[in-house]
Amino acid sequence: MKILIVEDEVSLQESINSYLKVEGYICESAVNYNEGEEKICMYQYDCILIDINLPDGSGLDLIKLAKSRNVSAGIIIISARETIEDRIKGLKRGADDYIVKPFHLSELNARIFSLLRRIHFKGDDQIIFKEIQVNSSERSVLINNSHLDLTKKEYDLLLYFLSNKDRVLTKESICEYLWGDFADNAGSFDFVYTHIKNLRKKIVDKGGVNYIHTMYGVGYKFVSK
Amino acid sequence: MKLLSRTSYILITTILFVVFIGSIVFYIILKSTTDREIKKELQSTMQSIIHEFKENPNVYSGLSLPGYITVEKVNAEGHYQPFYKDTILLDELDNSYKQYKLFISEIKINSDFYRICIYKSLNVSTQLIERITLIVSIIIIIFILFIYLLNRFIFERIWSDFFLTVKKLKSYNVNKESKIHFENSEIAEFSLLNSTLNKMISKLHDDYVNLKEFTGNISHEIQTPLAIIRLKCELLLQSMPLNNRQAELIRDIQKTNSRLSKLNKTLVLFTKIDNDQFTHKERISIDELIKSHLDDFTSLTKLRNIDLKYLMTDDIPLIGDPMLVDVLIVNLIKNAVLHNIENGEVIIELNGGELTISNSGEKTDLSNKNILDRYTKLDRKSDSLGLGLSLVKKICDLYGFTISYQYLNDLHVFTISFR
Repeated sequence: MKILIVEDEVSLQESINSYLKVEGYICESAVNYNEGEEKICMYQYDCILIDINLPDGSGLDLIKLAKSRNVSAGIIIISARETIEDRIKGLKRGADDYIVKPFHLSELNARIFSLLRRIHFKGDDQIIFKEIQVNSSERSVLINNSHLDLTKKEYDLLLYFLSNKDRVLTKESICEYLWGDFADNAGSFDFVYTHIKNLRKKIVDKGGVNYIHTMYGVGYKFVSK
Repeated sequence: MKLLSRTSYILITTILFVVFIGSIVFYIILKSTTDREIKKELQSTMQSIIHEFKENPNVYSGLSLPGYITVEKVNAEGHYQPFYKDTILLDELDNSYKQYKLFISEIKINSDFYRICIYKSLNVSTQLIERITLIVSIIIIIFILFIYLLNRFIFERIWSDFFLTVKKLKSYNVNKESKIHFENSEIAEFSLLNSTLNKMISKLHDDYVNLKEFTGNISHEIQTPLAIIRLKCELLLQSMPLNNRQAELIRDIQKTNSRLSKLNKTLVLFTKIDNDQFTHKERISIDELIKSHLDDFTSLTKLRNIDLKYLMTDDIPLIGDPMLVDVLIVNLIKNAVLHNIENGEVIIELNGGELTISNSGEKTDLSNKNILDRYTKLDRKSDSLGLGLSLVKKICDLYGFTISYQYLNDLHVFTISFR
């Protein structure tokens, strides 16, 4: 899977790059509009991350270009602007997703993971990890072929872990992923704990392995090995 | 009071006053002038009569023509200086009383004293004075009327440029229009006004654009470094092996960073509302909005065993910015959930154009705690910024909703009236 990151902030771009590389993606980057234009025209990508504010042009124009050149690529906008107008403008141009800075790398990773699955399997895919089988069109989970009854949040949580295997996920990032803006109170971290406790219990009850490890004082990690 | 009425009022009262005083003075002067002339005439007549009398005493002695001249013999004791006298005599011709001026003089001829009275009718001069005064008054009244009409006519014409300027200014909205231009006027004062307005508005517009760009950019400029810090921390966390102390430190940095980023977002939102930059308008259903968030809140309330109830009798369709209205509703519900207690309750009611959110919580009445002001934090333990409710207040003010707080039956009740 090839990913192009068009982001003028080198430091940000490098961070995304190094996180995604570990996930096994091949990452290329462009630091301005011209470079982005060149790469979009020359190569094929599975996913393109585009910052709207580029020093020499607008990322919105790059989206248009990418859509005409590289039809199959999924496009995610990375922007500091979060008004509805900005979002609509971006999505209208053909972007698939919109993520507002500052975001968690694990969240970006989950979004890319979900977008790529949507593109390649048209939403009718299965994520299989050892005994866990996730059917995303039905939003159902099977453990050892027996149905696992999860709440919406628990399902989202499991997907989040599956897209960020072997990563330390902080409570904040999980909280923001599950509740978005509501997660600005220390109390809500207890909710994360409760959700994870329930999810673990349900998986183990169905004979699954407890892959979710607690990293003391930091967060959680889905250990695949 | 309109400028026209005001000027006309002042003008007419001044003119009336001047005319009134002027007429009196005019009348007095006219009267005294004619009086003087009559006296002169009487004097000269008297002189020539005395002269005639001295030459032909017989012709004149005992002459009696009332209304013209009378001569009578008097005793010597009554001798006095010639004097004037006003009198009224009956005119037998038309049987009416008429005013006369009398000039009385006494002379001594031989050893006899005679009193000579000469009459002069004042009828003609009095009438003349009255007529003249009347005509002058009529002329002045016509003059005032004319001035008034002229003023009215000129007013409409001269001030048309001014009204055009006002009309343009009225429809001007710095938020929407780029710039407006005021044409030069034939009248120097209005030209000055227009050119000043041109300068002012172009400055205003530039400032507004700068401010708008600034608020847009500041969010971008600050969010980017915050994003970098966040991503670097995340990468650092992945770089194993970390000991617990290091991991905790990184997490603390992340937490603080998140707070900073949320604070920045909220403050930018405040500025944007202040600058009236939310011009996007859509029809919004409060009911749908609440329902879309209910799921998220239910999962939060369940964990603390909070009973969340939503009662809707009639929906309120609103026109507004979807993001702002969303912030408004979410902040209110979030507030009710976060400041709640274990086994507490949250009741959301939507009816009669009002949204009421009641929640259990600490049993203290907060009516006089300015909870809608910025940075009013009631519990120090939370990481909340104390901006949520003031943001709610701000959005309510923007859209003309009223928000009120009550403490009723151990419940904190927030009511928003959308009417």
